Formats: sequence, structure tokens, C-alpha cells
Amino acid sequence: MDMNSEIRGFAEKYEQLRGEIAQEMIGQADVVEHLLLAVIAGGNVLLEGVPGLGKTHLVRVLSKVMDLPFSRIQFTPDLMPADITGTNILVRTGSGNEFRFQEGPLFSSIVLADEINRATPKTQAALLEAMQEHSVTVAGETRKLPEPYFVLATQNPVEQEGTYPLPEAQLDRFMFKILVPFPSLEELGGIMNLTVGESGKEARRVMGAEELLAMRETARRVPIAASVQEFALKLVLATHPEQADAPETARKYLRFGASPRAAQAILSTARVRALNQGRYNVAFEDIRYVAPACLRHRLALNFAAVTEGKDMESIISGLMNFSD
Amino acid sequence: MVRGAAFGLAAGMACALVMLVLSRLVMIPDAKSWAGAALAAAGILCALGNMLRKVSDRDAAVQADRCGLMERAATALDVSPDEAADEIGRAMREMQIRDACEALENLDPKKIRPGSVRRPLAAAGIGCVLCAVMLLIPNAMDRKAEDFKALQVKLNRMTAEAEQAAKQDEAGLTEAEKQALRKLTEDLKRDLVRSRDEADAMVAIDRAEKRLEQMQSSTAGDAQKAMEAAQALSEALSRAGLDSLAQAVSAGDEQALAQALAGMDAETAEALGKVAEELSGEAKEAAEAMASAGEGGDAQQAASEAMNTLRQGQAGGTMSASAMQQALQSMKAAMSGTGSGSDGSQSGGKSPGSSGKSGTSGQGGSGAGSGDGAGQQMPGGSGTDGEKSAKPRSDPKYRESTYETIYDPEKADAGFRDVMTEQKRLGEDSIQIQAGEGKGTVDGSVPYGQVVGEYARTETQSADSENLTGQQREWVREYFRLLTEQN
Repeated sequence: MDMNSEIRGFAEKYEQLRGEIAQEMIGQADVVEHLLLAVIAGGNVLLEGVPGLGKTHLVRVLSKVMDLPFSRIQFTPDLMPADITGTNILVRTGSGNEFRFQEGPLFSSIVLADEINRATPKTQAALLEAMQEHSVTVAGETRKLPEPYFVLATQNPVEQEGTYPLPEAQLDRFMFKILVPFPSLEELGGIMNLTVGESGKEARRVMGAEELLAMRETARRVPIAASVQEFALKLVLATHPEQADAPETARKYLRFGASPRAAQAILSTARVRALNQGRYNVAFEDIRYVAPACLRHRLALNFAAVTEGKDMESIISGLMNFSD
Repeated sequence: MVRGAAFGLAAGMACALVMLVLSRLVMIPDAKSWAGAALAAAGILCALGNMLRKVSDRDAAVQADRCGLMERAATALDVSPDEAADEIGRAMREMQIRDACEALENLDPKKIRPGSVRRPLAAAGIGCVLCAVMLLIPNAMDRKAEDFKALQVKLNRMTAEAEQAAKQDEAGLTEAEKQALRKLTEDLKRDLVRSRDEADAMVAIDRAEKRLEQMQSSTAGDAQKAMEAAQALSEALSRAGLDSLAQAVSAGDEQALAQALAGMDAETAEALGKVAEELSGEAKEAAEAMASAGEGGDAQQAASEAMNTLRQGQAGGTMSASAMQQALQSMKAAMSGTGSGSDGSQSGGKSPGSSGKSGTSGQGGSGAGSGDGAGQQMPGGSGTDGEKSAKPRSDPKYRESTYETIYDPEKADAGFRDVMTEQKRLGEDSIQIQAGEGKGTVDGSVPYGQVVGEYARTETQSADSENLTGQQREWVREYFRLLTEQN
């Protein structure tokens, strides 16, 4: 297949992925869209929503349509780092006993870290290397994780008792934080039909690891105009209240701003979206679409924002208008 | 251009609004016209500026992208396939440029509309409403501006009249006098142009009149001096027994003088020399000139020289500038006829009973004013307004002397009426004077018994309202009690 066909086939493949996921996932189109953008761009995703919204199921379906190995870790307070990374265990061999590395659930292409905020910071920190470097170091030995590799974590925003909120450093490793909303009446009806009714539709495999990596490489080549890139960078800078030319919103309501990883995330996911939309260039619209998911977990509201009832979405929207 | 015009409209509205607001604070003649001109000028300038501005390829691409190209054109201008790192990158860039070209081909240029016309138009609309509100609310300054405009027209006419009068007068004047009159006319013109109100104009006219009087009295002095010299010479010649010469000099007859000198002998010449020694100035010079005829000189030339010496002083005689004088008089009359009843009243400080007197009121304006300093003269109120703040004006041009000249009661119309003033303390530094029918006359005397009671009452009230101690108030009351008892 020549390059031009490969590029043109990108949007087609993307549509197929979305179509197959929709077989088992009713509604949540925006969540699916964002999840696919992050996965194709090669990032980790934090899904936030109340229990029972199908977060875990979505990840399962994703692994099915992409035909990628999937492992699920239910995070609990007594979960230890070795439980997820793996550890050296003593095994009896013909020549005697020896230590052999037993891979943990992290050794999988798609890792679902369910209720990640229930584990202790020590266990959460064990994910850092896997998420950023795509490797695991145990007993001084670093082991590469399979490619493609991404962590999809979920957390419940309402039950905060007995949880360990993720530190900023770890939150920054997530490319997107996707808010999973409660389904509408129509969507709820569809879910009922699918789960407790007769319907037995199942998602099918659309692509494999190789094709996903190829799509990622293609997306990286999407050109971006200087003005569009500048808009994204200005947006990230505008989140910093300490900047001399920071907007009033940032100064008044934000404690700290987004890291350069946020700019990387915005530009790489915007490229994927541009191709999805059948364009070969990034538009302002793409930046605007992906920016909230990239920024909402990287910014921290201050006390004034909390007391005045400001939410992150409106603040990000204000910052985008300022940077325009 | 549309965008520029929209911005211009907004900017013009802002300028017009500022102009209208300013016209409420300070007097701006033709403020509405200026506001309209600002609006039109800003609109046209911005539209032209926008039309002449060179639009770069990138700006054009951004504008086109706003019409649905979604940054295709702008990106195509930024990327180059040759700069791509690998084959897929090159292919991607080529496709992007091709895609942008196709999108541009399908773009309808008519759809390209300026992006942000709505905002400036909204701003212009708001400005328009505010301007309309400003125009609907009556502006007290408008009347002042109209008065000022009328004054300017009047002053221009006066200036022209003064120039014409000066030209008429120049006919019978010497060169020096012409120069002086021209200078006076120029100064008058300049002062009138700078005048902000009738008072300024009156000051200027009065100054010119004074200067003209000075010039006339100066030339009159010269003529008198020359006449005196001729008289002295004639008398000296008579005393010396040279009657024929004395008569010729007295008559100013050059021919007769030449004839008398023609037959002059040595004795006569010697007598003339002695006469010259007795005299001084022009008379001496004339006598010496006459004596030179006896030393073998030309009698005709000597006579001419002598007469010239005597005539030099009285060349023009008293400077005649009647046209200018008349013009200044009519200017003053015209100025006082504008309805501003200029008035000067002498104040006796805080004492009641001090009477004001109507000044050179043109149309019966009987304004009255009073200074709060003893004996100080102040300009009166305009029209029939009988109230005026007694605070003296600090402007040096309104000094006492100036007003003494302009508002000299002696120059007032005969139909003035006396007024009685009553003062009312308004605050720290302001006294209001209420004018009314007078009880006394300016030059007449008022019986002490008629005023002492009121005087005592006013001062006792003043003492009560002042920040004085009880003891001090008691002293004041006691003083006036004794004063009225004595009476």
C-alpha cells in the first residue's frame, strides 16, 4: 500500500474502530472519541465517573477491537508494587532452585488500573515508570513493556474516603482525563437492551498492534501551521498564574499551570483528530476540542475558585478565549 | 475596507462622544459640527487606511481559512514537502498542499467576509445611542458658544471697520504718524481676535482709544512748540527793529521773508546774529538761517531754510485721526449694546448702605457688583442679573485701574439708578450681593441714624455666625449697643 492510500485509509480505519466499539458501547460517543484519540496518539488515559457507567467495559471492548493483550488490576489499599510489576520468585528447576521473574499485570499492552486512587501512593508510584518509559525495573533489572502500551485508569469522583488522590506528577503522565457522564434516557434504554435483553451484538477485531503503531506514526506527520501551534502553546502558558501576562482568570482561580507535557499532548492528539476529520493539517478547532481533556487534570483550582463555585471547564474555556 | 470603515465608525463615534462630553464642560464653538467632522474623518481615514494596507499572503490565507478552509491555506504556506524527514512526511505534506489548493479552488470569494465587523459595529451603535442621548439633553454651554460666535462676528466686523478708518485717517498724516496708527490698528486687531468676551473687547478698545489720545496729545504738543518758536522769533525780530522780517515770520510767508532778506545789509545781518544768540531751539536755527543770507548767501534759500525749520515742528499739526476715533467710539457703543450691562460699583467692604451704580449699560442692564475689599472696584453682573459673587478676579488684566477706566461712573449714562446692596455670606470665601432699590445717592450723604441700626444688626449677626468665643461676641454686642445708644 502506498503512502497516500495509507494516509487516506487512516480516517476509514478510525471510523471502523468507532463503529465496532459502538456495537457494545451505547452512547458515550465523546468518551469513545477522546479515548481513541489518546490511544492512537500513544497516551495514557484517566477515566473519571461514578461506578456502573461502563468504564471497565469500554476498555475491554477497546482491547478486543484492537486485538491487544489486556490486563485489569483492581486497585485496593493493600495492593503492593510487586503485585503489579511482578517479582522474582524461587522456582525449582532440574538443576536446582533459581529465581525467575514472574511478570505482573503491567506486562500487557492495555492495562486497566481500576479505581487507581484506592491504592497507596507507593503502588501508584510503581506505575510511573511503566506509564512514561514503557518499562519496569525490578531488582535493578529493567524490562521493556510490549508496544503499543498504555494505561487506562479509572477513578470514582464521589467516594473519596479511604482513597489516595493521585499526586500531580502522576496525573501529568495521563494524556487525557476523560469525564464519563451519566447516559441519557435513550442511551440508558440501549444499554438495557444490550445487557439484559436479547441483543447479542459483539465487537469484532479491526486492527492489530502493528496497524495501531503505523497509525500513530502517520498521525505524527500531520503538518501544523505556526499560528495554530502558537495558539496551543499560548494556551498552556496562559494556565500559569505566575506569568507576567497571565489572564485574570488564571491569576484569580488557579494555583498552578500545566506542564510542557500538556502542550505535547494537545498537539499530538490534535494531529490525530485532524486526520480523523479528513484533513491533512491541524486546525484551531482540533486544539479547542482536545484542550479541555489535556488540561483539566493538570491544573489546580485555588481556594477562591472553590469558594466562588468555579469549575475547571469554564476556566479552561475562558483561557481558550484569551489565547485566541 | 468594510472592516476599516466599521472600525472608523466606532472610533469616530468615540471621538464625537468625547467632543460632546467636552462641550458640556468647556465652551467649544460649533461642537456639534466638530463631532460630526470627527466621525466622518475617522470613518474615511480608517477605510482608506485599510484599503491601502498591504495584505500579506499569510493574512489572506488566515482570512480564507475563516471561511471554512480550516487552516488549510495557512498550513500550506508554512510547510514544504522538501523539508519532510521521511517519505511518509513528504507524502503527507504534498497531500496537505493539494488538499488546500482544492479547497481554495472551491472557495467562493464572495463568502469571505471580514471576521470581526460585528464588534466595531456594535461599539459604533452604542456610541451612536450615547451621542443621541447627549444631543437630546440640553447643554448650557450651547448658549455661551452661540454668544461667543456672535461676539466673534461682531469683532471681525469691528476689526474691518477699524482698518478702514485707519486708512481714511492716513491721508493727512506724516509717515511716522501713519506707522504709529498702523501699529495701533494691528494691536487692536490682535487684541480683538484674542478677546474671549465683551469685557476683553472693551479692554482692547479702551486701550486703543487711550493710545490714540496719547498720540494726538503728543503731536499737538509738537505743533504748539513750533508755534511758540515762530512766535518767539517774531517777537525777537520786532524787538531788534526788524519789523518786516518779524511780520513775514509771523505770517509764515516765505516769499515775503525772501524779499525782506534780499535787501538785507550788514547791520541787519548783525542784528539777526544777535537775535539768534538770544534764542534757542528751532527759533535760533531759523534766525541763523536768515542771518546766512546776509553773508553773500541766497535770500530765497535762506528764507526757505528758515521757514522749513519753523514748519518742521508743525508739519502735520495736531494728528488728525477722527475716523479712527469715531470707529472706536462706535465699537464701544456696539459692545455695550450687546446686553451685558457692564457695571462698576464701589463697595464699602461689608458695610451696608454702600451703593452701586449702573455703569455703561447698553440696554438698561442694571447689574450691580461689589468687591469685598474696601474701595475696590469690580465688574458688574451681566444683563439684569442683580447678583454677583464679590470675590475679585485674579486675572491681572482685570486690575482695578483697567476697570476704573472702562467703567468710570462719570462715563455712565445719565439714566442710571442708585442701588442698595445687601450682602449675604455664603461660605468661607464668597459673599453674595443682592441689589435692590437704593436708599441713598452716590454723591449725597445718608444720615448716620438711618444706617447705624442696620449696621449694628448686620455686624451682630456676623459675629454670631463667626467662629468667635462667647466673650468676643459679647464685646461686639456691647460695642454696637453703646454705638446705637449714643445715637
